[in-house]
Amino acid sequence: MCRKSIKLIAVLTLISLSASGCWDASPIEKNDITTTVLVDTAPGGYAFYTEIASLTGGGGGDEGGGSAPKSRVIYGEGPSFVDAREALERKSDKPVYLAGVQCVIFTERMAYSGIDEYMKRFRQNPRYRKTAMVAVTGEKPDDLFTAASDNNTLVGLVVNDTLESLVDLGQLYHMTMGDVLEIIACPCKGYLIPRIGLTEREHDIEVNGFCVMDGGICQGVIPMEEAEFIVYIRGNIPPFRYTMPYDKSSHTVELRLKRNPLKVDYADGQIKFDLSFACKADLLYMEDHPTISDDIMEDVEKRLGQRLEEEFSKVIRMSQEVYRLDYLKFHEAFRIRYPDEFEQMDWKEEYPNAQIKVDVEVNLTGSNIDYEPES
Amino acid sequence: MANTITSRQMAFTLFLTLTSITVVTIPGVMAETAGVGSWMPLLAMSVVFGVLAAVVASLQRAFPGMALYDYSRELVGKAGCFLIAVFYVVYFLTVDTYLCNAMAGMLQANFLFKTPYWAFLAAGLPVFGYLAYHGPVTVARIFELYGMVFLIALLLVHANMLIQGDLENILPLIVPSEVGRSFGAAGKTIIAFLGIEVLTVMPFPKKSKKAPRVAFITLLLVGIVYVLVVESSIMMVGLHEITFYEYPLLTAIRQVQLENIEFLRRVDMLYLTVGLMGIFAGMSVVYLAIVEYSGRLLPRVPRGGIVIGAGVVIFLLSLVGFGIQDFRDIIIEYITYGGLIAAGLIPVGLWIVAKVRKRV
Repeated sequence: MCRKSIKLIAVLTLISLSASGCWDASPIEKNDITTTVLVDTAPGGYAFYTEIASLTGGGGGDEGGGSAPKSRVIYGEGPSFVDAREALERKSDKPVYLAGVQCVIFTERMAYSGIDEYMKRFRQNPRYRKTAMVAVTGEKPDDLFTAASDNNTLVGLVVNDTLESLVDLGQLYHMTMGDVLEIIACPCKGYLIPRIGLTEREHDIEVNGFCVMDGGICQGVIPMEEAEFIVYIRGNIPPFRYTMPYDKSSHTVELRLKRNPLKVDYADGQIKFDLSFACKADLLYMEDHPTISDDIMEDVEKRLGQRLEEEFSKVIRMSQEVYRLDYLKFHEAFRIRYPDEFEQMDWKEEYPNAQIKVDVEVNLTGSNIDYEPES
Repeated sequence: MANTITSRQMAFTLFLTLTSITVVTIPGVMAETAGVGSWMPLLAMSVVFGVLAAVVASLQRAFPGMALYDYSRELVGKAGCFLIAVFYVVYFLTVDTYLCNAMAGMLQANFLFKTPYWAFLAAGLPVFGYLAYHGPVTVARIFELYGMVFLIALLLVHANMLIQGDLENILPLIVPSEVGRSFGAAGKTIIAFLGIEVLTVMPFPKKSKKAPRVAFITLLLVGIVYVLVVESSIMMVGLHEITFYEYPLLTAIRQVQLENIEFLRRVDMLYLTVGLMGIFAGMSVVYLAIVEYSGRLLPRVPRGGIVIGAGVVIFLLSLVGFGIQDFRDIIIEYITYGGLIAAGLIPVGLWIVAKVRKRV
C-alpha cells in the first residue's frame, strides 16, 4: 500500500512538472505577444519597432463600443542590435514573446545598409519562427504602424495575409526569413524580397515591388509592373490572366504556363541555358469584336508566343545587365549539371555573360468567345 | 509470460536505441562533412553495422535466455567475463551520461529555456530507472508498441519535409570528384549506429533462427531512415545553412507547415511529444544495460538498490559534464572508440571463440 502511494506521488509530481512546463511556465497575458518586428537604421546605430498585439483589444475603436486598440508599438534604438533590443526591453512592461512574429520588415535604408548582421542574430535565436515572412518597406515605420492603427489592424497579420494570398494567386513566391538565411549561406547570394508600401488613397498595405538583394545588401528596387514575369519564370504557378496588345485593341487570355526542365550546356567557357515553356492559352475576351477566324487565331497565337518570350527575356536581361545578379536561380541548374565546374568558377562573374534562350510554345484556344474553327 | 524477446521486439529496440539523439544532430554533421553525398557513407555503414548486429544476434541466439555476461563466462573464463562486464558498465555509463547531457541541452536550447539542467535529469531519470527496474523483456515489449508510433510519426513528418523541401538542395546525388570526401565522412556516422550493443543484455528464445537476419535488415532500414532524415532536413534548410545549427532536425521540422491538418500545424510540438520519446527510449535501454551488467557484477545487491545507485551516478556524472566546456565533443570521441569495442571487438571475439568451440 505504502509503495503504491509512493509510486502514485512520484508519477503525479512528474506529470505536474511536465504539464506546467517546469520553470518556463508563463501565462499568455504576462507576455508581450509580438506580431511584427521592424528593423531600421537609427543615427549611429539601429532601431527596433515591435508591434504588440493586445489580448483584450480588437474592437472597432471608440465608436464601436470603446474597446482598446488592437496593438501598440514599442520602439528601441541603440548603437548595436543588442543595445537596441535592451532599450526595447526597458520600454516593455512584460517579456517580449517572439514566437508569434508573423513578419519581419526591414526599412529600405536598412536593406541598403545591410541586413547580414541582423540575419545572423535571427539565426541564433530559437525563439523566432524561421517561417516568418520577410518584407522591405520604403515607408516611414511610423506611417506604416499609424495606418494599421487607424484601420484597427495588425501590420504583422496584414502583411502576412497579403503575401500569403498573393502566393496563392501565383503573383508571388514564398520568401520567409528561413529562405533568406538559406540563400545568404550559399555561394550565390542573389534573391528578391517583396517590397511593401501604403496605398495613396486608403493607406492600406500593398505589395509594390521587389528589392533585389545581393547577400545582405539591397541593390535596387524592381516595381511590381516590371516584376510580374519574375514570378512566372519559376513555373509551377496557377493560371493567370494576361492582356496582350493586338493592333489597336487588346486581347485578354488565361495562361497556364508549364516550365520544361531547364537545359544547360557548358562548352568552351560559354554557359548556355535553354529555357522553354509550354503554354496553354485560352482567349477570354477582346476589347472590340473583330471577326475571329483560324488565321487570326494563328496570328494571335504566334504574337502571344513572341510577346511572352519578350517578357521573359526582359526579366532575364534586367538580371544580367542591370543588376548583374542571378536572383532567378539559374545557378542551381548549372550546379547540378556541372558541379565541379561550378565549384571552380565565380558565378557572379560568369552569370552576366551566360546565353539564355527563351522559347514559349503557345497552344491557343477560344473556349469563351464566339469562334468556331473551320471544319 | 515469456522471459525472452521476439524478433520484432529486437527490431524496434534496435530502431529506437539507434535513432535516439543522433537523429537530431546528424543532418548538420553529414551536410558539413559529406555534402550532397551524405547518403553514401550512411548506407555503407549501415551494412557494416548490420553485419555486427547479426553477429551479436547470432551469439545471443546460440545461448538462449542468457545475456552476454552469462555466456562469456563459458567462453573466456571468469576473469575475462569480469573484465568484459566492467568495460560494459563503464561504457554504458559514459553513453547514458552523454545522452542525458545531450537531451537536457537540446530541451533547454530549444523548448524550455529557463529550466535548469538538473531538473530535466531529476524528472527523467526516475522514469528511466523505473523501466530499467522491470528488466529487458518489459522494456522490449514497451518498445515494440512505442516503436510503431515513433515510426509512423517520423515517416509522416519526413514525408511532408520531402514534399515541402527544395529538391535542388540535395542534387546532384553523386559528384564524382566528391565521392572520396563523402566516404571520408564515414567515421562521423559511427556514433549513429552505436547502440547495437544493447542486444547483449537481451535474452533471446531458443528457436530464433531468423534473429541475425532480422538484426541485419533492421540496421539497413535504420540506415535508410537516417538517409531520409538527413536528405529531408537538407531539403528544408539548405546544404550550407544547416551546418550552422546544433540541432538541425528541429530547425528543419520547425519550417514544416501542415496547413491542412489543423491539429498538426505545429509539427515541432508533435516531435516534442513523439520524437522525444525516442530519445527517452534510448536512454532507458542504456540505463537498463547498466543495471543488467552491474547486477551481474554485484549479485548480492538488490536490483532496486542498483537502479537507484546507477541513477545517482548518471545524475552526478551528467552534472559534472555540464560544467565541462565542449563536454559532448570530447565524450563523443570516447564513445566512438568504446562503441567499436563494445559493438564490434568483444562480440566478434566471443563469436569466434564460440565458433571454434562449435557453439554457434
